[in-house]
Amino acid sequence: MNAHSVAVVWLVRRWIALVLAVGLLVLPGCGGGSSPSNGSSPSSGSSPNSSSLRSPYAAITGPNVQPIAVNGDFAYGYPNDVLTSVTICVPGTATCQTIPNILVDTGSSGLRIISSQLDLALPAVMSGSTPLGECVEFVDSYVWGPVVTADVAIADEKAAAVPIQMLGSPDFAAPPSLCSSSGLPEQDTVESFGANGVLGVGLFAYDCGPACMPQSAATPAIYYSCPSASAPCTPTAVPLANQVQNPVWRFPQDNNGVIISLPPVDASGAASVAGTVVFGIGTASNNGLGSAQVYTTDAQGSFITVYQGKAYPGSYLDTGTSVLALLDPVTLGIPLCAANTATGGLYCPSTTVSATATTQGANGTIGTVGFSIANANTLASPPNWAFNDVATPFGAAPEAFVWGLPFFFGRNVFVAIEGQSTPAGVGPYWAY
Amino acid sequence: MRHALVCGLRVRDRRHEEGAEDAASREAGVIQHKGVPMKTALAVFVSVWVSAGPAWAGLGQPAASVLADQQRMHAQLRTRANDSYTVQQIEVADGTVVREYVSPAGLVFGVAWQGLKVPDLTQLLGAYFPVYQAAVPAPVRRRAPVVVHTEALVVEMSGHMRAFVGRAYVPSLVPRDVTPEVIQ
Repeated sequence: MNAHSVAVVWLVRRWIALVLAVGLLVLPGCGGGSSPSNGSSPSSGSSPNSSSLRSPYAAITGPNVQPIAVNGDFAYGYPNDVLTSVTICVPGTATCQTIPNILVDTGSSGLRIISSQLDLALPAVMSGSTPLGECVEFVDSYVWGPVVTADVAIADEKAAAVPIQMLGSPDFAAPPSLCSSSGLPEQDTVESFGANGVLGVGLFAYDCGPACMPQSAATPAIYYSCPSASAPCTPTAVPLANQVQNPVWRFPQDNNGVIISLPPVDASGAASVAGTVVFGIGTASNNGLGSAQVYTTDAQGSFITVYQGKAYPGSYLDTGTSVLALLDPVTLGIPLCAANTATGGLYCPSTTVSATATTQGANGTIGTVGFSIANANTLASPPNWAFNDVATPFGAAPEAFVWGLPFFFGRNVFVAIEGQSTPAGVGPYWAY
Repeated sequence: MRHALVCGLRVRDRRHEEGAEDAASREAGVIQHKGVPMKTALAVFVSVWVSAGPAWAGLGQPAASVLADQQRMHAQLRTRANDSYTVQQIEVADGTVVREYVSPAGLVFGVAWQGLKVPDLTQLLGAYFPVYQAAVPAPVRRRAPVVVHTEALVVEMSGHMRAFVGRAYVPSLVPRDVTPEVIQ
């Protein structure tokens, strides 16, 4: 298709979307605005009413604030790819490099950089006398590479000598078979990863934690001892100090968590969204919890979502998942988009569906969360890049609602790190 | 295709749930484990400690391969049975839990897992691993759970750091009176 015909198709799709949207506005009883109780049936309607949110989006400024953005500016980005920049230095020196287009991820902990984007020579973290490698899985891929040490600077915050991971290092051993045996694709290039790296600012201080320590009952195949580029790597236990760590908890201050602050977007999406990640919870004048409700998680970083009376105990919030992942076409009564297309696997309702669920913390906190699912084909037209209503099914157990990036638009969401004190208690928790 | 599949199965599932208590007494079965017969209801487990590294019977393989794999496994094995299928639950010391669902015909028709990381699917999916790899969606411009739905194989997996979950089953091997939703 040439540019002209693409534009015509886009205009036609827009027109159809507009007609549908107007149609919804004049239909009585089509939801939106009201605040139904626990687990209402899905209904056609507009986005959930943001005025009912306990912690709605409010712009935050200050020295502990780092811009984040969702837009189409990065050549290898994808819709709802939320990116920021990070400065990395050789430990204890002023030899530094700022790397843009780093994914902001509340579903993982630790900084990982695609090695081709890194110009610095960073010291290796050793397992005994051999270099340490790591295999990390994300929702739909794995990454592999050596653990190195760097000073990490973001906004006015700086963490000294933090273990981080280099991905796809050409001088390092190849991924072990125990790493690739998940069958997930390897994403150690900028093009495949969709970013220059990932800044994991999730619930954990350490990426693996006690399970990977020498005292653990068994060593999971996550960290590896890699004697040389050609010799096979073997799984190894790693003390906490050498594990890849959430840089936030290593800051001298504002180190108990973050706020992900993203403005709302329209149901049809937005071309560009500018928000912030704010460091610290209740540590400065600009990062108080306000009216946000605190939901503690279980040891794995999950909590419960209840929908129509059924509990989904593996649920979690994750800026690194670009869609909502929940339920199935039968339960929702809406079809999937055609397979083998760009939107294959996403929901494609004829009109936008809105519903509510309740989220429940391990501490007993209960709150209502509204969500909308629009037709992904309608949304797929350019130029929009940020969406609050794209969703895909998910059914493995423990069953889960995966509250991906669409959940975060229009909210200030607090992520408190395990073991760190905050005015609302010790992490891990989410608050919103 | 998936629509029809899940729809038809949900009906059976509902009946299954509603009659769960009746079914429990009706289905109270006998587990043969290490030659020791045991009266059991749905949720009664038998535990055995075995030694060595994790290995699993493959999807579509005979259940006997689960028992053979025990010899090489540093894991706790629990067996649970009813009239329709048997569940072999394998608990590895690193916290990984794998459940294998065995049909009355003796074949592993489904597997489910949860743990710190995704287990070795080359073993767990066995001969179906190439089918899974071929069906994993080509890189799409999103970051979302992996969902493979073909007539030959269903795989669903997701998770976040420290908590990965997934399941896989072969629709043609699932016993007629069983809904795939039991594979969890």
